[in-house]
Parts: sequence; C-alpha cells; structure tokens
Amino acid sequence: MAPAAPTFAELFAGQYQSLVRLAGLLGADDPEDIAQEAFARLHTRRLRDDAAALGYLRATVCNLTRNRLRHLRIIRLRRPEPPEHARSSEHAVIVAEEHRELLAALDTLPRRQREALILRYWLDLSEREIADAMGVSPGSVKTHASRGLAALRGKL
Amino acid sequence: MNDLEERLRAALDARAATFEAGPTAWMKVQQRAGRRRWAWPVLLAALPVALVALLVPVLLNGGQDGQVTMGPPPKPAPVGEALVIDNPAEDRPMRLWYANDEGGLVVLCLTVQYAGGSSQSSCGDNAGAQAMKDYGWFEGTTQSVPPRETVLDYGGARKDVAKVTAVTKKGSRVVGAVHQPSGAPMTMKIWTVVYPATDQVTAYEFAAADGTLLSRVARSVDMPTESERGKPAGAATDLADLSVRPYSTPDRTLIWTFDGRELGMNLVRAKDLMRDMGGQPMDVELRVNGEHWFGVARQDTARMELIRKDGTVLKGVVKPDPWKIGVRLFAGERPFSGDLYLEGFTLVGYDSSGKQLWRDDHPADKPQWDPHPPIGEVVTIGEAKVWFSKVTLADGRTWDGLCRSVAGEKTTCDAFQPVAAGDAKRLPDLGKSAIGVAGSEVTQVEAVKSGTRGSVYAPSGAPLKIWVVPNRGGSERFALQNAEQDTVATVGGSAPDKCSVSPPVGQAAALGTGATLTHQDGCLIIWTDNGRFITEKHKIDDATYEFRSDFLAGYAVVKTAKVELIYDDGSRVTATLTADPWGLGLTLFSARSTKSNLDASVVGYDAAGKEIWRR
Repeated sequence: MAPAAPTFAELFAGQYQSLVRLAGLLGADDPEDIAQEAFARLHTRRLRDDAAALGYLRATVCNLTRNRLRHLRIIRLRRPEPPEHARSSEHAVIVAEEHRELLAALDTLPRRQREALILRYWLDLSEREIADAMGVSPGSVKTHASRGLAALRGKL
Repeated sequence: MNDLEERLRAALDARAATFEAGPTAWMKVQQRAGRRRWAWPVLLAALPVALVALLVPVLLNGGQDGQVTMGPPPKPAPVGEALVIDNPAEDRPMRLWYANDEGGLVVLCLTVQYAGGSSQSSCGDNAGAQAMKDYGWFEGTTQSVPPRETVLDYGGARKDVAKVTAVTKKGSRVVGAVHQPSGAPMTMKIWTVVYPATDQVTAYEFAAADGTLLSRVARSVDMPTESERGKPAGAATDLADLSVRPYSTPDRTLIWTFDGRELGMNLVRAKDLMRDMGGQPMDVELRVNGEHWFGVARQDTARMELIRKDGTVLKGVVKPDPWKIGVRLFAGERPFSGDLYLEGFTLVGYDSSGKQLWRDDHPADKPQWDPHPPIGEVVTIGEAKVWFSKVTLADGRTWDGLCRSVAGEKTTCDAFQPVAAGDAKRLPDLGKSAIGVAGSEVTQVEAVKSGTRGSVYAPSGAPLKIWVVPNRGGSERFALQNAEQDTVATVGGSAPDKCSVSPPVGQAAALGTGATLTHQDGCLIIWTDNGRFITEKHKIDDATYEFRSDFLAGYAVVKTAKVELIYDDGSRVTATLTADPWGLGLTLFSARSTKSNLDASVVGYDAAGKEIWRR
C-alpha cells in the first residue's frame, strides 16, 4: 500500500519554503504572498487525490506569479517604476558574482522559457510535471526549455 | 549535463537561497484560508491570534504501509510524559505534551488524527509565561469545519489546579479532567473538557483540590459557521432527517444541517462541479458526520447504497437538487457506533432501471499511530471504551494489558500476567463497576455477596474475555462461571491497587545500585535488577526506601541533602543522591550495603547537616 497522503500541515511544513523560492525565482515581488495564497487556495479544495496537492500548489504559484507580473507591468505602464525582475540590492549582494551574468540573461527570456528552465533545473521536475505546473502540453515543455537554453547560450 | 546546465542549476540554487520563509507564514495561511471555505480538516489550535502566530506545523512520519504503529515519538521532543487522550471529536487517540520550542520556551503541543488517516500537530505559545500570569489558560480546541458532534478544549494549568469546569452560554457547567504529565516542566498540568458542539463555552473556572476558585478565564474563541459566513442562495430542502441549502460563501456551497446544526458541506460551483482537482469526473462526494452520511452524486444516480465491511447494506434517500445545480442529493443514517472509515465501506450508485452506474471503494483506514493498538474488537462499557493491547514496561518487557479510555480522559492500560482458560483476574475498578479479564471457559459472572449478575464480553479477535459487575464498593468477591454454571474461578476482595497492575511505562531513574525508580500516574515504584517492582507509593511524605541485604534504594523529601546508612556497629555508608527526573521535588538515593548481617538506620539530613528524618 502506498504511504498515506500528506496532511495539509505536513505539506506546509515540507513545501512552503520551496514554493516561496519558486515564486521568487519566477520573479514575484512578494514570493511569500504568492506561496501563502497558494496554500490558502489549496485549503479550500476538496481533493479526490490528495497526492495531487503538490502539483496543484506548483501550478498555482506559477499562475499567481504570472498574474502578479502582468499586474505589475500594467502598473508600470502607468507609473514607470522599478524595472522588471529588479532584485533588491540585498539579493544582488547575496548572489555570488559568478552567477549574476547568467541570472541576468535568464531574466530577459520570455516568460514560458524562463518558467520551463526554472522548473526543470531548479525543481528537477519531469516534462509531465512541468507541463502541469505551466498549464501547457508536455510536448511544448521541451520546446520552451531547449529554446531557453539556446537563448541563454547566445547571450553569454 | 553540459556546463551551461550545471551553471544554471548552481545559479538558480544561489538565487533561491535568498528567498526565506517568514516565521508567521503558517498563521497568515490560516488567516487567509479562515476567510474561505475549508475542505481539509481544520484544527482551531490555539486561538486567539497572538497564539496562532506561533503555531508550528510538525512533520510526522508514520502511516507507512497501512500499519498501525505505536506512533512516532512526538515532535518536538516532549519534556515529561506525552499524554494519550481519547479524542471524541475524531474517535481516535490524540497526544498532548509539553516541549521546548527552538527558542527554549516551554510550549504545549498536540497531535490530532482525523478520520481518513491524516494527522496534524501544532504547538502553542509560551506556556511558561502563561503559567506565570494565571492558574489556568486555554490553548486550543478540536472544533473543526465541518463541525463534529463533540468538542474537546484543552489548555495548561499550574500545579495548584485540581479541577477545571467549563461554563456554557446557557449557564450549564461541564467538569473536565486535569492531568499531571509525569516530568512536565514546572510540574505544569494539562486540562481537557469535552462538551457537545451545540454548547457554547464562555469561560473556564480553575479550582484547587479543596474547591477554592483560583481563577476564571473567558473563552472568546468561536468559529463562525459556514452559513454565518455565507449568504443563502436558494431555499432549503429536506432529505431524510437532514436539511440542505445552497449558500454563496462566495463559492456556491451546499450546507447540510441536522436540527439546525451544521454537519458538512459540498462545494458545487459550476467550473469544477463533480470534478476532482485533476479535472477528472467524480461519481460521488460523500460526507460522514456522526450517524449521518450524505453528499452529492452524479445527476443520473437514482438509488444509492452504502455497503459495510460485514456486507450490511444501508440505503440512502436520493433526490434531485431543486436548484438545477446538476447533482443528485443523497442522505442516509447509520444505526451503529464506530468509525466508518476505520472498518472500510463501499458506496454504489444505480440508475432508475436498477443498473449499477458507479462504485466508490473506501478500504479500511487505520490510524497513523496508536500507542495502545487494540488486539481484537474495542468494547464499549458505559461511557468507556475497553480493549486488549500490549504494554511495554519501563524495563522493556511486554505484558498483556487491558486499556480503557473515556472521552477527554487519559488512556490507561492495566498490565496482567497470563490468564488460563478457566481463570480470571480482577483489575482496578471501572467507575462503579468491578472489571477484570477471564479465560475462554468463562461465560458468566456474579457477585458472591450481593448476588448481582454481571456481563462477560468476548471481543472478536481478542485473546481473553472481559467481565464486568456493577459494584457498590467495599469488599466483594466475584464468581466466574462456565457454560454449565460451575464456578471455575473466584476473584475479589478489594480492587487491586492501580500501581500493582500498571507497571510504569515512563522515564526511569537509574539509582546506581542496580535499582531503578519510576513514576507514572501517582505510582512511585522501585525496581530491582530482575525487573520486579518491590515497593510502591502514592503519597509522598518524608522518605521511603527499600533496604535489601546488598543495597539500599529510595526517595526522600526535597530538603534532604544527604542520606546515610548507619549500621548498629556505628559504621556509616553515605548514599549517592540522584536528581528526580519527574519534577516532583524528591531526592532519590541509593547505596551498596556492605554489612548484610547488621541492622541499620537510614538517616536524612538537610543542607546544613541537620538530621531531618530517621528510619
């Protein structure tokens, strides 16, 4: 018999930090807000398959971050303030010099390519899992990821 | 993996590490979710908000391979004994214990298990600071959405507190239980109160052993019901004994009530109606609460059955929804006690021609952990549940045990040595009844003096039988008879001392002379090398010890700073003192006896060297 599905509290204890980081990597200006909203939404869902909860959380984080970035873009159009993906000076100091060029290049990629690379190379998800999180077909995941890598290679 | 991929991975790791989770995240999630509909079982642990802020979800292990385990050690690690309490809200054992949080503060923690196999742990606020402010305080409740029939509230108390009483809005009073976990920090206690969910508790009163009221604490926490949070979105309709009505919460939700009390709900918004999270269609969405089973099913369902593990078929009432949502409503009763999920069941739906449309299997679910897993069937005797289990003693040996629990009370197990087919043993009384275990030949029991006839239970799958006779107290003997009404065993006199049948399972203090001392449930017992206890005591006065030919071991009042063994020839041996690990304020002592042929006195001194007791 398969191990029991995790409880909500277990999911929170095991995944909250990771989902905050995922939201941060995807460019959210307030990653904790995104992760908390994802858990709050999960809590209102009656799942037939509790094992699907983690996939739901990832997909929600991707969706919410996307919506948030879209909202921020609209705000900026009206009031041109911080540039997209502007990291705080604290982040800039913390992330080592050797990674900055690569991360700066990553930040310039189209949204889907960036998401595919983060889900693949940071979370080590399968194509199926990445497709579920991004809300795209598994076939297109490979395309987004390979184009993203090629673009990165060209920028460095 | 090529170099770019490796660099990308490292860069993402480095950036990810700059995003940290804040300490109040759990509270914020609960606050956000609390404004909406809850689909997962929710434990309202430790409100008000200031307390919620420090809730820490704890990851549990357990539940592997469907095996009921004795239970993973509670996390964070208990300081003192972790109580196992019968939780009437879920009909499963729960744990309550004191622990130190990461900052070293004393906190009160609990783990609750839910029907369906999940569990949740949380710890409250700084209990040590609470104890400095008040005699007793509220920590949390098992109130949940959907509500259960019974609620258990719990909290902490100073050692002076002997009684807790909940005062309800109607003015009635519910007496709770006050537990003293062995070894708890600052000898703090834990209290529990069990009451019907329809009552609203407004305050708790904490009293001393002599009845003096020590403090009164208001309880302001009450969970708004779903219907209070939402707006009606249609007229109510009746189904069996239940009533169901759509609400906007703001999602379209059906809320089921019985006699005005909310039993459960089904989310029926159009965008994912009767679909699981993966978008797959669902045949049925069942809710079970108390004696009722109900919910929504596929629209073409005309008839429904709930088939129990033993093959018993329960028929539900099925009705189209009058609000054109696109589901069938169903409801039924289950005229039996016990946990449907624990025994397993199947739901079957049929169309109007009687053809089976769907089948939804719920295999037997076992609790993730149970410190006293039942061997055989659990028997209900009055308000108590009684079952056989194994008891692990302080020295690691395992005895057979008969466990008992009453809602909100600490679960205890009385250990006993093997009982033959034609024999019986008496155990400590169960309320106002004498109780014991008997071998397979025993079929009847009777009190010899009063002639009162009792009952003999034969729980299926259990190794022995259980006999019970109402008893007015005093000395009485009980005749155990076989099917031919021949008396095969007589037991009785007085009920056995709790300590003599409940060898402690808690922390033992090694005294250095091969003896150990244990304390649990008021029993202080000195054990020798071979594991047999040699003395016991409930009330601690000045000093108690065991003096054998080769050793001395015992315990004395806290003022004792030195203990000497003084032989008749004037020679002296100074005993080694050991700290009391249970917070009882005792001094434990032991010494090797070198002159077994001489009589001796045992003398205790205070820190100034003054003799304070002599035996």
